Amino acid sequence: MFAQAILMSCLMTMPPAREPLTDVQRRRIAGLAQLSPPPADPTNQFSNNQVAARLGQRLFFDERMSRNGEISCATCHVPELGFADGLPLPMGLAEGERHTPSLLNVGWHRWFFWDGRADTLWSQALHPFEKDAEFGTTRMKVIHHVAEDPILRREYEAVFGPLPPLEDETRFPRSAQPSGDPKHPDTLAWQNMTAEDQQLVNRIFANIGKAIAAYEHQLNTTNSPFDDFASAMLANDERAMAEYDSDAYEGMLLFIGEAGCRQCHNGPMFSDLEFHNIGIPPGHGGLPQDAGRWEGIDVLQKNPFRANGPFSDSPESQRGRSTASLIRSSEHWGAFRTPSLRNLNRTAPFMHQGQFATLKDVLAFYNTLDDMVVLDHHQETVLQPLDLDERQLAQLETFLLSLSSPEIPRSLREAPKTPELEQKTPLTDPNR
Amino acid sequence: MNRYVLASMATLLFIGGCCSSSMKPMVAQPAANTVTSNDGKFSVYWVPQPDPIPLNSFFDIKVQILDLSGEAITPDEATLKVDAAMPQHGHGMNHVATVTPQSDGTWLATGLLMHMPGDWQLYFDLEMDGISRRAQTPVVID
Ligand code: HEC
Ligand code: HEC
Repeated sequence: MFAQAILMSCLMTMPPAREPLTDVQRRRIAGLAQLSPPPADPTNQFSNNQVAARLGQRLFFDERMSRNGEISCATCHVPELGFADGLPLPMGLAEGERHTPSLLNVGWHRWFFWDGRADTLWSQALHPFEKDAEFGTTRMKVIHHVAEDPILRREYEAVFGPLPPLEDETRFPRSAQPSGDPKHPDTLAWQNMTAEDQQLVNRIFANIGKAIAAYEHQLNTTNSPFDDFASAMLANDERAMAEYDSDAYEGMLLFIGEAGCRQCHNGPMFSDLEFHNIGIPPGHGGLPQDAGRWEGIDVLQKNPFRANGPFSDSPESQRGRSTASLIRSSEHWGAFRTPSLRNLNRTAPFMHQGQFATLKDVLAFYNTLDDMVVLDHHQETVLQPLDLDERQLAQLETFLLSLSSPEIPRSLREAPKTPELEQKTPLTDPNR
Repeated sequence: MNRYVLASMATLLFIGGCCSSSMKPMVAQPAANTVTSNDGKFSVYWVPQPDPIPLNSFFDIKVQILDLSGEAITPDEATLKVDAAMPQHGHGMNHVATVTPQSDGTWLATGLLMHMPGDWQLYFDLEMDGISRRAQTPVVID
């Protein structure tokens, strides 16, 4: 009787029998699992420095640097929304042109922004400050802010060494930046500085980027249901494997098999980290106007803060060499970086202009390719309508949602605690 | 002596002569790593490092080129370019590979990256006496 009851309950909880995975399937699944933190960035020697990361975290949540005193990185990269903003297009000082990407696991990327116009996390962090629609400030103002706030200054100098005499406003004006309108006072102020002082300022600005990047490098998620399944598979733990939701499992087989998603969404980020034009209709209607990667390569290669430039800590690294060897060709026009598919449960809407509100909309697009914009013969010819039925689409969606991880620790989702608490932790980094 | 015997002799020479100990012996899969040029005038022996070619991470290729008589064609007499593309998808690699002549008469191509799984073509373009000739071989990445 008792034994029978146990048997019954076992039978009831037993998942439907699954075909054993083939070697190819196992290899493909293992290639998608994220079981380690992101690779170190050789161009940023401070990327694992704890004090640098804490300074970066302060700056990330600091609204005082923006022109209206109300905008920080966290205005658009909201921790509770997977460090995205939940909007199709961002709202800083003005509306932006492209959708805000999530910063979870961002250290895994090779190129940053939808068009890859930054090749390191630290050089990316310098863009928002001088962008009119975002912070609307200048690098000189940012540097003065760090120098004049006692906590920021202390942490900056602990990591990067003493600041030059920035209070000397004949050498270091209150506001200055090189780019933009040649007649603008900020541009003129920059041109009046000596080349040596401009270099000094650029070096400090780069260091500020490196501190922010050190913080962002920690925004890593682990243990999604899919990762747990993959770990169980690698450990040949059939029991733990069976705990994976059966719809997610079927969806996974579609994803790595006939649906062909893995062609672009491969590797632990579920992104090849490269660029494709999949013909998503532009949010503004009509024909696409955004050149995407085509322009991104050009902007990158002119940027002094690039991985193979003078402010990189390792211009000869693979990262530096890969920027140097980039090919720019017409197939890059209108191509955008393959987004990661992790943590989509909190990062809607989707695509480079937030064109799709839900995952169902995304999957409906791939299923029919209705409204796909085909520009010319250079466009990627990988996509074919999937023609999946409702059940399969639901399985794919369940699989995608199983790539979502628990929240990262609260301590990383807010500005670092007040200075009183700070006193207890040593300021000098043991790694330095 | 036919071409294949020559080819495999050359292969052995190549292994003995130029390869670092970390390279896998080519005899393991000679067919995949031996390719005759489209005009039949030369053969390319190539060894990827790492082997097999990884999906979406940088790899190098060691290359030796032999003419019909089995004589090595060296960087002194010819220039080599190495490239790859996915013809069915209408795109190439996103990087130019650097090809560096080696002192032993071979070449080393670095900085190659095949970012998508699927059918690639690997191209070896040899320029000699102002004429460029191609050897090409399919590579499947998964
Ligand atoms: C006004 C909203 C806004 C603000 C403020 C903002 N960002 Fe962003 N962020 C965006 C948008 C939009 C993009 C994508 C833009 C593009 O691709 O052209 C982006 C892209 C990024 C990326 C690249 C992510 C990837 O996957 O490639 C990083 C990293 C990032 N931001 C960090 C920051 C940091 C650090 C700050 C503060 C210094 C900041 N952002 C401030 C909206 C914002
Ligand atoms: C040819 C390469 C390619 C293939 C194949 C592909 N994708 Fe994508 N995917 C992309 C690119 C590129 C984008 C961003 C496009 C844009 O914004 O213009 C994207 C965007 C997405 C997004 C939106 C993510 C976000 O955060 O905005 C989802 C979800 C997605 N793909 C799922 C899939 C699924 C599921 C499949 C298989 C049915 C698939 N993709 C096949 C390249 C591809």
